[in-house]
Amino acid sequence: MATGRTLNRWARVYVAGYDLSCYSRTIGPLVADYNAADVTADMCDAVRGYLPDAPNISPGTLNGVMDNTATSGLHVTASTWPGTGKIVTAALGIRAAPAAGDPVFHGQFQLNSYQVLESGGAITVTAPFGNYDETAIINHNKPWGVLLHANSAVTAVNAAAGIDDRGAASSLGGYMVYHVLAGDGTATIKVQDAAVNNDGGFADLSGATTGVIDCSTVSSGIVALAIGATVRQYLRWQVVLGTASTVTFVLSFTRT
Amino acid sequence: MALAIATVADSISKLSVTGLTIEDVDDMSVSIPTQNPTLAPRADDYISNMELIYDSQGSGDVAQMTFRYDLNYRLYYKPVGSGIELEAFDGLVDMIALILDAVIGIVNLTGAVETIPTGTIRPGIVVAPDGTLHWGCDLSFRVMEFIN
Repeated sequence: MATGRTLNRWARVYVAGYDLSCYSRTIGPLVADYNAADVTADMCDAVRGYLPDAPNISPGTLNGVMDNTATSGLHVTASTWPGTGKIVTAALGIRAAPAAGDPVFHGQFQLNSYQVLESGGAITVTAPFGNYDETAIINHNKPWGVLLHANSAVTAVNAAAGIDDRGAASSLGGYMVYHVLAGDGTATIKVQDAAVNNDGGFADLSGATTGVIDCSTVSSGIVALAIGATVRQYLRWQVVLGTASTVTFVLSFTRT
Repeated sequence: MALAIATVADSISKLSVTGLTIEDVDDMSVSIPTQNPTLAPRADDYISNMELIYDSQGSGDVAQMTFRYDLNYRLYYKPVGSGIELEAFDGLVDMIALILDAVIGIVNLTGAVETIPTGTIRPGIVVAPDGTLHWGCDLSFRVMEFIN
């Protein structure tokens, strides 16, 4: 995990289990915008006072290149999505392809429309996402988290150390977001936490699991922990291979 | 802060292009080797088109800045002979394409945040530092560095 500034070309976009990065030009603005409720007591307060209301959270607009590649092309996938909620993960690699510990913006959002248009001679796509999907609201209001597993195939359990995303344990719960891009059978994808960053220190983070899923089918999901759940300082991905010998997935996590 | 121009030049010299020798700024030849095509830094105009943009507030020692510049190279494909050598031109164009492929295909070049080909390429006859004539051309690479 590197730190510092980065460029758009190191961003990656995953929607509903599909890697749309190579069709995408930009995504954003990645927004968490709190409405400010005016609670000024005019007869007493010297200045106007506000409290933050529920935030609008949205990944903004996905701009990409129209491509009708079978099954996974931007046109084949996104053209059927308007009006439905889709799980989105925007991973921001820091001057390199995204790696564990890099920032991600994720959640489930309505795709408001899918527009194909000409831009500078190319046929392009504008796909604006709306706010958080009302049918999938979770009890956590932070859309920014960290990447635990970048897009790659896994064929064995994880025995490596994890990442330190916060510098301390937390006790407000959180949620994991996953995209399964490919696989050849069943597996369980999990988040593990630890107080000491070595293989022996990690244990399953209670509730942060996909359960057994069929990874031969593209899928995605969000698994939320209870508010108040303790998450120890270090995090890592874990997989339990069932009938699958290989699983390609992206996994990220947000502490609340 | 530390500009990494020398590091970028070193990284470019380590690009792999079949049949090509790429010289670093610290091992440039006065007499261009004739056995293999050679890409060498242009000693007369190596760094050009500098552009420094402040991305944040602060003085120069701490502010985040983006620094862009061109690094200019000369490709010496083959010494000019006495006859009509249009086959050399064909080979020169192929070599230019290989070099551009290598630069376009860079994922991470040590020292630079981004490196892309830029400018105009005019394949033809170029003059080496020792005055000999070669089939070749000038090539420029636009480099971006983050400072601080």
